[in-house]
Amino acid sequence: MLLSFSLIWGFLETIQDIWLLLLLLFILQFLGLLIYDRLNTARMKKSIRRFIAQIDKGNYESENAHVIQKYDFVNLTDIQVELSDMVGQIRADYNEQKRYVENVSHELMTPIAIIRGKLELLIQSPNITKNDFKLINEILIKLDRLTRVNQALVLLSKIDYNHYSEKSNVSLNAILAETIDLFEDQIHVDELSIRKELNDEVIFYMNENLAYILIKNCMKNAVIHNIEGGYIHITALPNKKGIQITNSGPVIQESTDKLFERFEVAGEYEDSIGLGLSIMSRICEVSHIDLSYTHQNGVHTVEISFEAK
Amino acid sequence: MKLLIVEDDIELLRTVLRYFDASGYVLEKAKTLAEGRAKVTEHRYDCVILDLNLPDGDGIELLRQVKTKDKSTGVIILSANSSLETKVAGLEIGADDYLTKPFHLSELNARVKSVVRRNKYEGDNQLTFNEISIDTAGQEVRVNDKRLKLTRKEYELLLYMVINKNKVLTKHSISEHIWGDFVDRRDSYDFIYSHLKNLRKKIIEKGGADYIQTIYGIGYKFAEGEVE
Repeated sequence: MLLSFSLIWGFLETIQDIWLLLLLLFILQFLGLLIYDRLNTARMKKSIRRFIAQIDKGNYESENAHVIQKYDFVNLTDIQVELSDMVGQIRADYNEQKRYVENVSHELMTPIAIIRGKLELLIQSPNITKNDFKLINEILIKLDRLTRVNQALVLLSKIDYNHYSEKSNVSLNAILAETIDLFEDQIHVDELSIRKELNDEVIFYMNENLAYILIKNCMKNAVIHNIEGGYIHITALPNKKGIQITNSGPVIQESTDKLFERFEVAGEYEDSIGLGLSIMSRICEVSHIDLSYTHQNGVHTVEISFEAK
Repeated sequence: MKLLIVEDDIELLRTVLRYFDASGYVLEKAKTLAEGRAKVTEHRYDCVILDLNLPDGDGIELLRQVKTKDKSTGVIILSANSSLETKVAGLEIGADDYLTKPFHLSELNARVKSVVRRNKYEGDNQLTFNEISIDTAGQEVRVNDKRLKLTRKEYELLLYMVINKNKVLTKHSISEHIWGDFVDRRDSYDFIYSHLKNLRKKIIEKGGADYIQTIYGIGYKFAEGEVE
């Protein structure tokens, strides 16, 4: 009897063990699954976190050091917060750049104004000789060049950081008429014949200031880089998509592609700066305008048209 | 004429003051926005030359203060920003004129005179130099009371020279005054020469004297002749 009891007890104990074991196993499995699940989720969250941290580091000015906690909850709100911080950063950068460009411009222009002013005062003195005048004039010419290069660079910077983002319908006809009027002396002296064939209004949707600069630069090139008794023909492209300016001029040695590099100089004009072309091409880029310049045996053609969307 | 110049760069301030002092203005200066505001509160000026980039604030505040106090006080804004829209914005907020740095002192002088002329209600529109008189309202020029027929550019040239009389004007400043910054400098000097030649001829034809002196190598001067 005792034997059976002990046997039964032993059996029961064994069963208990087994149940315990099973229970243990079950619990372990449950825990295992739980842990696995959490690890998995945590890993996912960690990688999303890392992604966000990377975007964060992409902002060089960011001071926020994100402590990546292992099992943090990561959800869409965090991403939204990051993005809005980023946009705020971009806006701050824009304003900072804008102020920087304006400050640089101011810092450069003020000394130039002072130098010019002092030279203007100097030439009022009664003791200046003719040779001195010549020297002073040469200084003024170089100062002028310095000024124009600076202004061109500032303009390029402004275009680059979207300072001229406001667009409107701009009539090219009006700007062309104004520019031709401005250059009437040059046109008269060089005996250039100007022919305008613009029966309708050619209207571009772009920033008005940039339109002025673009057209004036185009026309300026056509007028200045021309020959005596030459011509300038302005025609509208079909469907009023744009305009074409063809003019006579010197034969150019350099390839036309290089003309668009900054400071590149073409032909015999040492005084002209290639920045003008650089500005024109940047304006066209941000305004979605196609600018093509071709040259063949002294015939220069510039085509400005709206990119087909 | 009473002028206030508000400019934080001391050297530029001094240079401008020297030029205007020699032209017979009564001058006052301010180096900061605060100084400028104090001056404007105390005195009345014919014209205020104002740099927008002041160390202690935006010059626009002073512009508003001046115009609120007295609309007929001219305000000319100086700034390094040359973009067209800043110019228009400057005029829109009530400035009478806008000059970008670097500018010619003679140009600034011309603008100041022009602004003051425009704002004076009594209409001081007559400019005289001996037998030459210019009516800026009607844009008419008379020599010995005989009317002179001038092209627009010739008129602008004469006006600019008479305003800056007895001062040596560089070809550069004349060129910029007429054509702005869009003309190739080398060629524009030739145009100035030919315009002045025609102008001189027209004045002499009506019995006027030749006041346009060529200063070799650098420019011209409108003055009574001390022939060298």
